[in-house]
Amino acid sequence: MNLGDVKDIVREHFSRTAFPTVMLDFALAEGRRIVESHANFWWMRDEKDFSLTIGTGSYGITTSGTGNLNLPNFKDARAFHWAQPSGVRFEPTELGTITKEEADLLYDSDDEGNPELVLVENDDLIIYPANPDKAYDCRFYIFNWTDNPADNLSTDALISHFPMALAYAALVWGYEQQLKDFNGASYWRVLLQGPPGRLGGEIAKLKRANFKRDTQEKISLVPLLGSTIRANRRLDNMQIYR
Amino acid sequence: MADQVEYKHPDANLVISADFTNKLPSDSGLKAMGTTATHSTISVSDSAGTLSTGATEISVTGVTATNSMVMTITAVNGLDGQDYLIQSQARGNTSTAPAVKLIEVRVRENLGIGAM
Repeated sequence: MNLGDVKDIVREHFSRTAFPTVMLDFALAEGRRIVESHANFWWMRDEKDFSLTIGTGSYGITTSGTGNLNLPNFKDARAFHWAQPSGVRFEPTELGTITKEEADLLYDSDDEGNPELVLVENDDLIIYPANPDKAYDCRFYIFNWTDNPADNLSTDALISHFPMALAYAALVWGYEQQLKDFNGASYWRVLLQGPPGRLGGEIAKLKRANFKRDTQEKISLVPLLGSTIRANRRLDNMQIYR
Repeated sequence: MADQVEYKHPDANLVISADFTNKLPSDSGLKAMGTTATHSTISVSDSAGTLSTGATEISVTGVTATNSMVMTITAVNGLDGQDYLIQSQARGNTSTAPAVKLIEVRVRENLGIGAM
């Protein structure tokens, strides 16, 4: 399916000619928000490469301009890696493992060095130690809120494989906002996400698909150097070299 | 909201009558079609807000008469599944004031043409 097909499905439940297209666009936009608020789905993955500014430990995530990341659709953080300036090997960094209140106690405000801990505080990315001594290259792995395609004939992962999730969510919004029919909205909400208190409907299918994809792509951040080396070889094979 | 909504088959021509009587009450006719600020104009965009010039994309022409308040618009072709927004801007032949009618044309090959 493409976006135009989903539009036609939603229109059929209101009116082909009397339901304003502007309201239909709102319904589809809010429908996508309703779906994406249930979980971080695979099509929402993104990453941002940037360089730290020497002496700067805080970067605006959603704002643009020098020293900020310009990610206005940022939803959630996945991981954070850093590398030496112009380096080719990235190393992992702890992300969100403690609160900012705790981190402020662990680090002096003028501590220098490469990123050891990264936090997301409101709309800011906070780097510890707060005084980077070099313009380290960083890669920020995130989940973004996404938008519907602009063109009727376009599609994406949600629309092409789970179009009824978007349609049901748009109908929930439309029945509440346009028709003021809350019982009708409840009907579509059950089809979208199952009965109250239970997981079902299209959201359950999306979460199952998301889980299958995630387990295959999950990053295992395990140190592979020094005494903490993780042996992936069978012991029998390792003994060949002794 | 659009002033008119029309459904069209991609292989059929669609003739639309846009009546500007209520929007230009002090005029008895419309300026001829053209491209300058003293003419009546017509433009079209797709659902993404743009319009390519491909052979299968919709094309529109408009016709006005100095003694008629009706702009006759002919829509040809169009991609199946696409929604197009025709902005017809008519100028009164006396007041020269502009008035706009938005006409939404939905090109559908298989959807029934009858409105719900």
